[in-house]
Amino acid sequence: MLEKSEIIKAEKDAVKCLEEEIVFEIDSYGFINFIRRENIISDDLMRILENIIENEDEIASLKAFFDYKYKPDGILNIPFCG
Amino acid sequence: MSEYHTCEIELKDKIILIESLKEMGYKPVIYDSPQKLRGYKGDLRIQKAEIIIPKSQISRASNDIGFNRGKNGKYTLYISEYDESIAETGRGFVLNNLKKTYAKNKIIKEVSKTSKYKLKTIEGVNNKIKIKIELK
Repeated sequence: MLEKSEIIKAEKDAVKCLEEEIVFEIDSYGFINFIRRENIISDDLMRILENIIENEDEIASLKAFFDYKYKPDGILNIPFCG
Repeated sequence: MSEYHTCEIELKDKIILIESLKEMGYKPVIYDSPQKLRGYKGDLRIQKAEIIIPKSQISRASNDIGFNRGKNGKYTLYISEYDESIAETGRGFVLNNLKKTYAKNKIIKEVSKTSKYKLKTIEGVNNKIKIKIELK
């Protein structure tokens, strides 16, 4: 059985691994595609996304995505500009 | 006379909006209070804006293009029918190019504000901009 400290370390390593490369792709219409392999996100990264998006409805959708949805292709499309 | 069209755009950050217009090669004029826009003959129109791209910076037959902040914090774009039509051919002021530049600058600004992440690469590929960030 793992010690508590080992579990914490393993969790930290998992998060670090997920966040090693974060890609934003801006398409020709100015929409941002935020590309993730997993539906896991840290609070710090979520805060960055909230500030980037600037749209309360989209922020709510984003939070819902990471809270409740799993999308196997890992690509979250954020409608950025109306 | 080319009429003005009004379009609320999802852009809220004044500094980034101005920076992005400059990056696109314009020299926007910024006013403390909204000023009337000028048509291609120099005639004053009823539409007012705080940030104006003078028509001389767009094309010979253009009208001023303006941005005015609404009560909800979002900017409204004022653009004439003529300038919209030339934008469709990729000339003059192209809104999608502003959105792209704004989005890029917004990501750069928000990432550089944090202590945890840093920019890794910014590259243009097939009319797209790809920005990679990583943990510091």
